Amino acid sequence: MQFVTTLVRWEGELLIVAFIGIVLWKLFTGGINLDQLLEGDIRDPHGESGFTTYVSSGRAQSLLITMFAASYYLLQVIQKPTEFPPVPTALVGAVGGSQVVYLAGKAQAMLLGRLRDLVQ
Amino acid sequence: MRNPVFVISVIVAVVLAVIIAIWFPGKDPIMTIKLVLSYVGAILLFLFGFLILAGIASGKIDISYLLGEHGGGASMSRFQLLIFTFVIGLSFFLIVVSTGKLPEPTANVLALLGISATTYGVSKGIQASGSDGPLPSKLGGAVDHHEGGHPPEGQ
Repeated sequence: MQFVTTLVRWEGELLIVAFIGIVLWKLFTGGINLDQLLEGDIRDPHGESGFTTYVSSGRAQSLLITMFAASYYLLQVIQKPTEFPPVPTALVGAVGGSQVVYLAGKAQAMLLGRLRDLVQ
Repeated sequence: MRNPVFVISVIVAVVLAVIIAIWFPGKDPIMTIKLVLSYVGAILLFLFGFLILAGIASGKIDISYLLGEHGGGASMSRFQLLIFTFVIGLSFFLIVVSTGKLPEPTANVLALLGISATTYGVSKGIQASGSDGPLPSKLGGAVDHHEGGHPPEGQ
């Protein structure tokens, strides 16, 4: 029974690493579409379809915070790979706040459009 | 036969398990059956996982719109969920390799994944309520593979 347990463990680990490897490889080689990751749609009464594309600062800050939080956590695990390291509450708050900003910006862009168009 | 590789995998798994059972006969028949079932399950799961990974790697399973959103561009919330999932998955892998035990997830780890998944859900809601159809403003960048400029439903 001991060998089955070891076999299952190695199988699981191999599949996880292979899956992550394949997806990362596709991300880097363009197999997974990352076009317009930092661009959002915004309601525009002058646009052909009622929407146009704009560079979203909400998306940019969300990307930065996400990469920071992910790198921080991964470094913690690499330094002490014995248990899931605790995540500082401030970091969770930062990620949460970043998402609120991103969603608020997206809601404003999709539902209301540019503020200057609202004022006019 | 629609997918011969799948059927061959199942047959290979069962044959391997029977060989193991004959090779290592135990004194207790119940124990032997348990062992055979364990081997069948383990081998089948691995083969299914391997088939899926091989499909993704070869392009038979198309994941090019894994991060695509309704308008055709890449979705930040999907990207974030992917990154956090990978980080937790890699951490899990490292911890299991170094300790040999399954780790207990902490509340803050679950909070990070929860925030990410909630953002994805809310983002989908905003997108759905903001536009009834595909957003043509995004057609320029990502429509090359699909007519209409948005990923097929269900992706």
